Order: sequence, then structure tokens, then C-alpha cells
Amino acid sequence: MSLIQTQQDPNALIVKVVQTRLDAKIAVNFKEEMTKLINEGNHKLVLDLSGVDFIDSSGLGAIVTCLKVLGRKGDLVIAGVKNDVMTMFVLTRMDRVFQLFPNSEDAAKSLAA
Amino acid sequence: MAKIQFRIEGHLENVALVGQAINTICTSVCSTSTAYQVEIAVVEICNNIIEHAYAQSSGMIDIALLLNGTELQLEFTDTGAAMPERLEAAPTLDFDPEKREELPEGGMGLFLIDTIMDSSETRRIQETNVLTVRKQLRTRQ
Repeated sequence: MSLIQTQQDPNALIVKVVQTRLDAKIAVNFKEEMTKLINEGNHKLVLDLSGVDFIDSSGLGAIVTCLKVLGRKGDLVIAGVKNDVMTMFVLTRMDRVFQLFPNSEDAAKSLAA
Repeated sequence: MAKIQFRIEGHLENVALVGQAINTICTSVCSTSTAYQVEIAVVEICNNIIEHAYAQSSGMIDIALLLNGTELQLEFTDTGAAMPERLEAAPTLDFDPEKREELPEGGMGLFLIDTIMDSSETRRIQETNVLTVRKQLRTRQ
């Protein structure tokens, strides 16, 4: 079961979640796939959540893990968050941690060197 | 007063179904955004049961939904390991958004349940854990 699709943009690697629910069922595998991308040298990432309808705390925690794996050597911004999913970011105050953009193009531009 | 009962095997792949079902039921009396928040709480509760109460065993989760007007009550029963009693203080989620290395990766579930629902009560009855949560649903505009 594929969880993500990647597309190389001049400014960042765009990673689109292709599951409608980013939850505890897939959080561990998602984290592993993302960590692999980071360890391969992709340090500017756009996480495209435009296809995600629901995220739980495990899914959100997995995204936080990715940010921590990147540390200070890179950045991860988020694109395409639907209104319902935004609820989770607001309730947990993660909307103050991540830069959120309406679409992946704008998000990638924000990571231009 | 309406009462609906659900029973799922305590596996993570079953959680989405019960969350979505309860979301749909709630939309009959409240806004979709409130129903979505209830789904978040249901999912977090079921995840907690599976990952903690059933960490060393397996079993069923029984969920009784009681809707009395706009008062929602959900009762979760499992036969797993004893869960901690309700915390005296409400769970908090304190962090500095600027300190990336200190951001929480876990522990958000209890905070979400406490934030979304109006009240929660945990009891150990013989060999079962019973968690009851309640929320006054705002009527749909």
C-alpha cells in the first residue's frame, strides 16, 4: 500500500499523502517512508495534505517526528490542508509550528534558497 | 432518546469505521465541524484502548452511543489491562513552537479528548474498563 507520492520541484521535494486518512494505522509506515526520504538528502520538503480528509494525533505526531529528524538542516512546510484537518492543527496548536500554504506550488516557493 | 451500540475488534484498522459512523450520527443534530471533532475524540479513545489496554492482549471494544436531544454520551468498554484513573488535572499540551527539538510527538490524544468532550469518567468494573464521555452538541443552525 503506497502512502506517498513524490515530485521534484526546483525548490523542494513535494510529498503528497495518497491516503485519505493519516492515522494510527499508517503512522509508523508513513514516518519510515518520510525518514528514508530525509536520510537520502531531501532536506526541503513540502507535505501535500490536499488528499487527506482525517488526521489523528498519531498522524500529526508522525509529521512532527519528520520535522525533528530534519532538525536545523532543513525545513518541512505543509500544503493543501482541508478545513476539517485544520481543526486538528489548531486544537493542538501545531498551526503555530508549521508553515501552512494553500497549495504545494506556493509552499515550494517559500523554500526557495 | 436514541441508543446505538457498536462492537469492533480492538485493531487499528477498525477504528476509522466507528469514528465515521458516529460522525454521521452526530451530524443529524449538530454542525459537521462539531461532529468531526467528536470523530477525533472517538478515534483517540479507541486508539488509546488498542495501544494501551490491549497492548499485551486482544479483545473487543464495545461502544454505546446515547443521544438524548443534543446531549451525547459515549461509553467505551474493553477487557484489556487496567487503564489509569482519570487524571486529577486536565492534560496539558505545553510547548514552545520555536523549539523544534522539544515538540511533542505523542501524548496529544488525552489532551484532545479532554478538550473536545465536556466530561469523562473512567471506571474499572471487575475485569473491564469503562470510559464514559459526554458532550452537549450545539444544534445545527
